[in-house]
Amino acid sequence: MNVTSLLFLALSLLAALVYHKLPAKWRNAWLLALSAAFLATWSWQFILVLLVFGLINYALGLRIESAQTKKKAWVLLGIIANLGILFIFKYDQFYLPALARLLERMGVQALSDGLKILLPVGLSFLAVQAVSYLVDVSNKRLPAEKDLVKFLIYTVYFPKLLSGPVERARQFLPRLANPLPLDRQIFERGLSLVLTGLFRKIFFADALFRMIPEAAFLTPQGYIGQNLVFWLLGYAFALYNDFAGYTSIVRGVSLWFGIELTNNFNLPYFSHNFTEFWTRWHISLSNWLRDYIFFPLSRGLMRRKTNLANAAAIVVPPLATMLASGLWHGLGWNLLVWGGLHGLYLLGERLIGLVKRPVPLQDQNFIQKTIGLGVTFILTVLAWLPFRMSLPVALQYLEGMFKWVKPDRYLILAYIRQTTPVQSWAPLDLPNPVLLLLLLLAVIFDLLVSRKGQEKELVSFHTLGKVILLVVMLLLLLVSLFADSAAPFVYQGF
Amino acid sequence: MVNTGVSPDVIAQEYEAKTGVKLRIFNFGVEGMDIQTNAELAGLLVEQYHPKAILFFTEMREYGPQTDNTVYEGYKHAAWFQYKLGNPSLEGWFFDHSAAMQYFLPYRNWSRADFPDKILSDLYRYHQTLPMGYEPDMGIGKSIDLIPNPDDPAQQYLYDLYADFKPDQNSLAALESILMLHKEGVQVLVTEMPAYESFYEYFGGESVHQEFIKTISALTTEKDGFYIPPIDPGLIPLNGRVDNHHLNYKGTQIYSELLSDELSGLCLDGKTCLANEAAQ
Repeated sequence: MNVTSLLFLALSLLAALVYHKLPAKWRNAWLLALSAAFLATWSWQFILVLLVFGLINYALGLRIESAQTKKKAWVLLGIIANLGILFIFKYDQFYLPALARLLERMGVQALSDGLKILLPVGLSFLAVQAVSYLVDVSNKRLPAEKDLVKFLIYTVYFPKLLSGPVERARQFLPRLANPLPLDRQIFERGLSLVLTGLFRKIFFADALFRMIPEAAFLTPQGYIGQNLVFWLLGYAFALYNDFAGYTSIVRGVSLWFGIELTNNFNLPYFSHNFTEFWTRWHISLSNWLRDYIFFPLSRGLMRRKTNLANAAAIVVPPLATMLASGLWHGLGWNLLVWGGLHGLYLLGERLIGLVKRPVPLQDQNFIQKTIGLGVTFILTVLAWLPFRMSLPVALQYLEGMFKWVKPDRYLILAYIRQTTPVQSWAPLDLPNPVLLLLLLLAVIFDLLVSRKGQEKELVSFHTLGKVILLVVMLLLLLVSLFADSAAPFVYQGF
Repeated sequence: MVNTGVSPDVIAQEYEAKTGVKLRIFNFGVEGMDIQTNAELAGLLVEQYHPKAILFFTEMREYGPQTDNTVYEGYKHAAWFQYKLGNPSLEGWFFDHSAAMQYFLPYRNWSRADFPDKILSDLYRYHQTLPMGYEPDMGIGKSIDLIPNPDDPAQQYLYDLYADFKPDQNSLAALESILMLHKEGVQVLVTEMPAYESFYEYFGGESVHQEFIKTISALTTEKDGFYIPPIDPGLIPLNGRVDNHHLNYKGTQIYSELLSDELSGLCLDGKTCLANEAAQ
């Protein structure tokens, strides 16, 4: 069931009302049943796979807590188990063909179909969540969860199941134990998050994705430079609004159950440097990468106190962290390059910081801020090339972006003077004006919902502003829904 | 199929001049329409406008068994179409009753990559189209009289599509359902658009075309329709054609006059007369 469907939202609200009416002891069972039912709408087999996944981590958590010796070995086993499950299900294209060939050589025929593995929804998110739980238990940041039902809800809680946010058990479990009451304020906050999310997803993301011709990301050499530039900008904003929209919807739905989920986005394209960008983009995963890869690596290298280790402590952590982020998104050279690029961006910032002490953001003047914002934005957008397409195509696309064609001013003038009947747009060699308008609206929308650099919910608006914005958003949503049905979320594929 | 090939004004004027009968003719042809969609729409047309006669223009492409039915599939899934066929939906009701929604219709694909091109070309066509539904095509085709080369990849596709041509049963059933509208008190006349003879090479040549005519005319007569034999395509000069099966504004003028002659001749001979308020 898609989280943008009216059915999902209506059923969720109904289920939330039932949840708040139930006696406290039945609430978790109700949440678990709802999560299982949601999983079953994708595939009933997912329930079994994720039940086994949850039981393994539940048992590992208890074992790590009680272990007097070899605690680290158990944690390592837990990490390997989770990454192994992720590898088996998510990266099957990497080993299944080889395995099928091997079996065929051994005389076992026609196994290629039988080897196809169903990737359970959200597994990438669940695996990193489970690793953080086991490491936190081992470091005594939280006790192992004894209540199996609560632990399984932490694993498969339906609003965050498909694409996160990546929740930490030490934050999620206390919220589950003490849900917020569903009063008018909480209901309105949830509704405002749902509406904002739907708007981001349907009006901005789906429309921007549709405005980019499919062939542009396959054979970019057939298109003029100015179109390639604006399509890439369109993709950057589409991807952001797609994922930010999803997060907003599920946070709103979860709030109806009284459980606050982590905010994943905070106006990332307004970042002034890459360190700031990664505190604003996919925040829950970025924090995970920081806490479980970047910091441990940095600490480990700095403890060695050699010149080589000191140099490595500067270079290795950002590169390794961002390469891991690329791998998490998928097994492919293009995603590794995307991660590597961001690693290099962060490394570049660190190196510049070593040479010249960075000026704190609040002390920067307008020009410094603008340059920072512009450079960060352009490099981020360029990095989406390998994120979206294979490396050879990304290079062709990059090359094509510099091949601008001068617009046909005679035809433009003829159109304006009406000496030639206006019959089509393409011969003018100008970018799609609707795309430009939508990009502008996307920026304005971000500015509207931001207060002092923080994304705020609609409920924090003045009443008149709230009403106007709501009416406009609903009308535009309607216009978008009649244009086409909603497309699946990009991050559902990771 | 005939939004660009037949001028209702010309037919009405010529017909009145020869028979003294004043006709009100509207062209309901839409670009790319196939016979199955036409069959459904003809029923709706009768229900909505109660025409006295329907003059249905057809051609062989509609009866190829492999012809893709994406147009029909598109219509079938349109909320308005389903609503009119008796399957209610809120969206269908809105499109049928709300002027605002109808005004919005041309802009509904605002988020498609080709929207600026499509909307500008649609607006251009809208301004070119006459009140009676005729949209003149200004193009003039080249090499129309050459037999298409079966080894040319662009032509090969069409040769493959219509190889071993036999009229598709679903298409014949659609024609039959149009003919059955006579039970609603509508006079149904069927004729074939005057494609150039090179066009029939895709289907196997003129002999296959003649077989097709036999099938269509027999079905039309059997179901109480009136079949008008196709006009000699040689009467339309090459500069009156856009390609080997579409007419331009010059060809349309000539064809509409020739067809009107045929229709008024049939009336003056006492075979069949077009009643007032005809629809194409």
